[in-house]
Amino acid sequence: MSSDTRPATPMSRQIAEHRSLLDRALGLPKLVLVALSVALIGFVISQILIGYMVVSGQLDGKWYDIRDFGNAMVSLSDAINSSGMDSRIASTLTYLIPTLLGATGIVSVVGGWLLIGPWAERRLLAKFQIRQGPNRTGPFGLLQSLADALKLMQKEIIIPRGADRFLYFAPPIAVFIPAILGWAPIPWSPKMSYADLDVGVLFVIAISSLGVLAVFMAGWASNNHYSLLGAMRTIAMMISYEIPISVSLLAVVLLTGSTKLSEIVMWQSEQGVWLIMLIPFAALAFLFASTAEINRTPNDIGEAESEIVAGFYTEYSGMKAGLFMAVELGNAILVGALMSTFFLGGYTFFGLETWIPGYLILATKIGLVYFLFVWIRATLPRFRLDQLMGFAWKFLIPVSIALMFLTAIESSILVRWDAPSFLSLGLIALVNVAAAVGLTFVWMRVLFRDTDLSAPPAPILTRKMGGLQAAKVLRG
Amino acid sequence: MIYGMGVVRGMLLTLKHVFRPAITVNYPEQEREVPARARTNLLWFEERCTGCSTCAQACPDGCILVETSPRSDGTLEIDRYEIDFRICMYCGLCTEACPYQAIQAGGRYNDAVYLFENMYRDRDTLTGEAQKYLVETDGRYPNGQLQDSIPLITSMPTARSRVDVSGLDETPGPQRLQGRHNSPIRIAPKEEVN
Repeated sequence: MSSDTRPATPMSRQIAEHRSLLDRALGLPKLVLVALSVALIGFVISQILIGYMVVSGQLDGKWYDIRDFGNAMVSLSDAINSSGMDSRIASTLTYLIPTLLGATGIVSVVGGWLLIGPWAERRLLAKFQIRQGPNRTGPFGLLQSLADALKLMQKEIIIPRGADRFLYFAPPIAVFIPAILGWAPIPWSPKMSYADLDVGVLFVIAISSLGVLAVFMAGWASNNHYSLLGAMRTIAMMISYEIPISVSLLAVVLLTGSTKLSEIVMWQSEQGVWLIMLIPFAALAFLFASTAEINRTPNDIGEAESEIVAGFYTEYSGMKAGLFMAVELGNAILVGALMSTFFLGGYTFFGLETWIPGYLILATKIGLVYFLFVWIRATLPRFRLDQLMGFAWKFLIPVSIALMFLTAIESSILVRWDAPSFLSLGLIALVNVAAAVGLTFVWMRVLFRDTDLSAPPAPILTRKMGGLQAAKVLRG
Repeated sequence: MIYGMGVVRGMLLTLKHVFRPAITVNYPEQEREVPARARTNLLWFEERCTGCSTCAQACPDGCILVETSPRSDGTLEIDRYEIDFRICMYCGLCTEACPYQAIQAGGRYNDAVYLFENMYRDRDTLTGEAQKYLVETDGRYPNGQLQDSIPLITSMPTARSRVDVSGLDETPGPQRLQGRHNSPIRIAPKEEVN
């Protein structure tokens, strides 16, 4: 036997025996294959019919137009109003039914994600680390998060001595308030927005600050110095990073001229451009600051799982700690939704939203941003707290504010200048990119003016006399 | 010098891993190959054993029990041969001590049992394990010798040599078995799977 071919082993035989998905699909019984192809043909025909209806405009505004669930709500309100009911009951019903249905929708989106999210995150992270991830519990390991939750629920509830009972039990639930309320102003389709507030951006900023309160309550009520210190650290981080978020959103508002989220999306759709192309630095600052806001890597020093014991929720056990961990995932897709709405065109995709439901486009964008989060988590190491605060206060906030002023000037010119949009917006994009790169460069030079960046810093003893020489000197 | 290029480079590097197949071995469904000379277990080959109980003397734990009775021709009848794997520490001193390599390191590694007492293996169990091993390896011992091609010339006749060697003229002497240095182990390739 030649030396380069290895003997057949059980493993190699198993790999050789492993059939691809297509092979296994073609190996199905004839009847199943026929049924599947009939279903496929039926699907294609139905899609062609739907396409015809969309083109001819028969579908617009009908209740069965599932491109926008808002249509069904409007039809329902019309039906209730025209049914000859008492006007007070009718108005109550037209308010109550869409409210309850929308709330159910939001809660089921978040709740469904909390069930699938841990599995998705772990599988994706495993992909980055050439592992398999959870694949034992149920099909593809999908029931893993259910098993985890059951395990956590069975654990003993331990309350620290001297803990403030109400304040101790409230935070695991209170952290969910921003994670669910934040979904309210997000438009999923033109008419599909739970509360399309005129002050949507303000609402988002205000709601995102609520998480700090839960963190502080958790740290304070635990009656534990370390919890309190962890809470202080997390709060310092979250409050610092709220400023870049606000400044980035201010740039968005300045350009689009509206604080209403649906109008921000419509502006991007009408101009045919995403705001990340116009104000890339604001988008990056928003993304980075949100990772700090929701305690995700690389900014998860508040609860760095591999270094410290859980930070502010050290004293929480069982499902209460599980809720703290779960809310991180809910926040992650909320930030994904906000990022998509503000900077990635929301539910629109250059005219594709006529054909594909807008909420599917938004969900895809949320998934992409979430993928980016997991990608960052798989790549970047964790920042130290002083690095994190220094990055916020010394770099992100000054540069963001300077670029926000630049955006303000640009937007005031944009309003007055009657030029074709590709010219004006292209100019704005160019100026903003150049300003971001230049300002970063200059500001870094100013910050590190006393540091010799060409020579990496080394310990003084080693630099003065070299490693071996230093050892000789020390030995005498 | 552009700030952030290191981050971009690192992220592209990690993205490459997404498209690589996982290196995980899903154990119950897949099994990694065990090296041919892995000292996974102890195998006792009854046909090579003379019942001299050197292994029992060499065992620091005293987990090997050998009970023999003399035959009329001076050889030993092995009445009992038992290894208590509950206290065996798999040090392999018995395999070093055995003059006839009747006890050798090798065999299966998935040794876990539900009842602790099942780790005590008597003569029948040990022979069953050994025969199963020989069937799997087409009659090749863990030390690389083939079951059929070894002239089992031993100073004390074994069960096998009594049958095979008794008619030869050669005087029985110390065995000169092929050692590891001159018999490189070769595993025949299994038939290819299409």
